[in-house]
Amino acid sequence: MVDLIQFTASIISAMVSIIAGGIFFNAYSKEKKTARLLWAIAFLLYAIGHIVNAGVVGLEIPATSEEGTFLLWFYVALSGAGTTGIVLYATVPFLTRKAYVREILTLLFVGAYLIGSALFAFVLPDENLFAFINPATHVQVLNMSWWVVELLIPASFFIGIVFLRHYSISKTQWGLWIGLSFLIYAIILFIWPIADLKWLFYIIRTVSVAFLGYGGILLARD
Amino acid sequence: MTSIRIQCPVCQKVKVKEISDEITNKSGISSVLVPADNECDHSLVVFVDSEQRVRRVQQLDYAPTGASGVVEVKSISGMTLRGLRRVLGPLLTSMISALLERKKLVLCNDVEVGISAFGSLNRIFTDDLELGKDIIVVESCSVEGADTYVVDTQVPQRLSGKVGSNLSELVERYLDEALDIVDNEASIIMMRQKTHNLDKAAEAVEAVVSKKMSSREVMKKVKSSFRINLSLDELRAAMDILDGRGVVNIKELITVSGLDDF
Repeated sequence: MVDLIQFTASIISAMVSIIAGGIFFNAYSKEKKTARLLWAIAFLLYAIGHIVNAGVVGLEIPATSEEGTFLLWFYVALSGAGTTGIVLYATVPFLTRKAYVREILTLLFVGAYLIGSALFAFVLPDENLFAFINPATHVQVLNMSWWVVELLIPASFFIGIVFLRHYSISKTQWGLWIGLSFLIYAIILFIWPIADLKWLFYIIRTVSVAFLGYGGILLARD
Repeated sequence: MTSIRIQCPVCQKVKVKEISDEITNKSGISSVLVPADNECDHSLVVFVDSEQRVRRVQQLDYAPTGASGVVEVKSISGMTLRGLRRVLGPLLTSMISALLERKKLVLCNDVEVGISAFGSLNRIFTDDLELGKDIIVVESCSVEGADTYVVDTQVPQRLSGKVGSNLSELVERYLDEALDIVDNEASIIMMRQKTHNLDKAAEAVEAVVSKKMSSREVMKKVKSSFRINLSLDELRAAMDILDGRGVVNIKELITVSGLDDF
């Protein structure tokens, strides 16, 4: 039987992300700043990833099957490495003028994310020493899920803190909403691999993406 | 012949001189030498436009002997901008930055390089620079002071003085952009436009900031009051300019966050 809650939450998440991406496209059309365009692309990737996930849930493809694991890896690659990688790449230049910092940080994150997730999903066995943070059942797809969460939490915290710090300095509202969006995401990420709590994750995540979209609207108006 | 009325900037005496139509018929501004006479002891360089209006009068430091009538003088010709960059390297960026911060620029040691550099810089900062006041060309490298930027033109190297790093970075970028153009005239005009705009931007920032403000607020206010669209880099450079000019607390009054340019 189709997990309707997860299916609906995934579709809503994808739709809200498309809106958020559109909002950043609009902000880019107001002022041609590359960072805004990159953010728009990042959230469209997030949406595509969630559509893939909705497909897996809707077609009842078991996550532990070869096809299901591959599709879930593809989903986390797009929505995690793709989105957060692009956001990091677009945001770091505002923090340091040393151009290589952006390249190094993005490469470290995306490299660790893609290589690690691929190893856990397809190469390493269920029970392996490297999947040291996994309180649930050790299956390949879950080892992969916990690995990407371990990387996404600090990255999202970092982005959230950067925007909240900007808000504390400049009092610009978009900094607050975008910062909160990433902070909430970082806080709830650890429940994403837990199957029974996925519905809760997706509901809170949808709210946090809405925060992001609202931040984007304020940014375009600013 | 056309009569022009000149007021000496030193003794304030007014004298009327006749200049050849050949000079004033030229397009743009011409410079003429008015030697000292019975009315005024000072030799002057007078800049006259094609409408026979006197645009500027400047005392000549060293008057040629034997000149009695009004004669046309050529402006000091400098190196090309590209040549100046090659001769002075990164120091050129600092020198332009120092002039924007209204620091006295002392070019010492190799006087020939100093005079040529003045000629080129005078074309960028047209109507603003005065030899002996804004730029001092001397052989001895002993001149120092808080508001002075001293460059040994022979090595070349900076001997004393400092300029804002944000300003230097922006001027360096401007120079790179200007030198991308092969035509020297266009390069100089581009630098003139850029430095002029930066100078105006700094004045606008000074005018709008009276209390603690975020950089975004400053940029908005400058845009609404002066129709100047400032980028964050330009605002940072303008803050350096004002700080260099001694505008008190300007860096404390404007809070800057990297994401202001997001």
